[in-house]
Amino acid sequence: MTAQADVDDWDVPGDLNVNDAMTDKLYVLPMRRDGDGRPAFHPDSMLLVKTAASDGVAIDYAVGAEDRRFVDHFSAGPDVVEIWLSLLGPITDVTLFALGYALNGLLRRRGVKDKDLETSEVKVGIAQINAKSGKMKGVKISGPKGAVIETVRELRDNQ
Amino acid sequence: MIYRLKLLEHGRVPPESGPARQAYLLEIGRSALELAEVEQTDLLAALALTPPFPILDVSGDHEADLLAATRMRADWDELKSQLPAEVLEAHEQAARRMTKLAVEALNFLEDTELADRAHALVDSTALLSSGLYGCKLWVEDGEVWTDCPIRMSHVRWGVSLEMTTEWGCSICNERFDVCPHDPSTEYEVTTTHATGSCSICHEHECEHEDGTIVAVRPFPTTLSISSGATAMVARPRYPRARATAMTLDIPADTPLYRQAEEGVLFCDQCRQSCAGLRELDWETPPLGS
Repeated sequence: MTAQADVDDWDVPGDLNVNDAMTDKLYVLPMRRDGDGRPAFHPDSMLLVKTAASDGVAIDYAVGAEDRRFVDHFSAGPDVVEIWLSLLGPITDVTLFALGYALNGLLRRRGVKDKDLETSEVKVGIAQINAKSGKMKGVKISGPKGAVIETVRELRDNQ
Repeated sequence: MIYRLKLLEHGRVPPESGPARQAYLLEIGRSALELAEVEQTDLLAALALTPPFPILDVSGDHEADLLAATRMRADWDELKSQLPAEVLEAHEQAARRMTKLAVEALNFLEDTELADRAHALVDSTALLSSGLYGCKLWVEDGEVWTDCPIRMSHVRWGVSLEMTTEWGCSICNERFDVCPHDPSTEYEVTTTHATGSCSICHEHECEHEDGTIVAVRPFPTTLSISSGATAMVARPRYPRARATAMTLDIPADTPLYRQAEEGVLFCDQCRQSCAGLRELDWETPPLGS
């Protein structure tokens, strides 16, 4: 039996925004908070965005360089890779590919072998920006990476 | 109770999770474990000693335990009296090192199949080291301190820093998130130690020779740190980020305090039978009395 992903509504924090969003592009959202409670990125985001830029994959930070903060927690982390992403308008083939690229990169960085990528547990927050209202509608999907990608593909098909 | 903590280490940050972390923990932990076992075997051979060694089985009956502790100390004194003083003295550093290596092994291997072996090694090396050489308590800033390896290692907790960090590029030293260097591309860099650390690996001590050109991939290094907070966690990212010393509840106006001041007060914790490892428990204080 194929493993399924769990899908839950996600109330996207009100202070998470995307600067100058474009369609067909994924924006990494800050998942952490700094000492003053301001949104901050996981340091893994740096390697993800730079590698994506080098490979021509459409992934960028949600906020500009001047407002970007990185917070590190020096405890051993959970074994489930998590990432929050945002996109403007509908899910497309381009953003679906970028999602798979991002998850593979994060998993490989933790030493996951290619043969285990599809079955590794991940959690993805997707905040879709309404092109007219600018409001975000969120969903969180968790499960094996292959099942999560398949679920996002179904979301794209049912848009 | 006051703790002295190790928070961070120089160099690259250990992997956060996943197979990369498991491989990292196993590589360093196994090396420490095997080295500690060799050191223990060598020490026993050098001193011609064979276990079992005197140990205090704590019964909970205070009077009986005091008597048993006195007997245990006398047994160790008797054992030591049979060893040539110069031979004993010559191996003290090795004995301390072996115990530290065993604790290191436990810190790295606590969630692996080698955890029980590492734990048993902490107990046996600490018993031997404490029995032969003693663990002296000391006074500092009006408190009695101990760095007892058993107290430090048997409640499993460590320290996690939460830091807002500005990351620089290992090649150009500009902000890593905005500089042009791609982490998947190799760049040729000339080796220099002019800043105090190596331009190639960013370690203080390494084998890279000044002037040589090395192809390296850029990686993030710390430019600045702000708004740090510290939390107690069950599993610190740095396996060595743990308590390294702690104070004991010995009031200043007591004979024990004066003995500690005079350098004649010793900790017996390592010479008691092991009550097992404990996980971090928020209901009771860590390293409780």
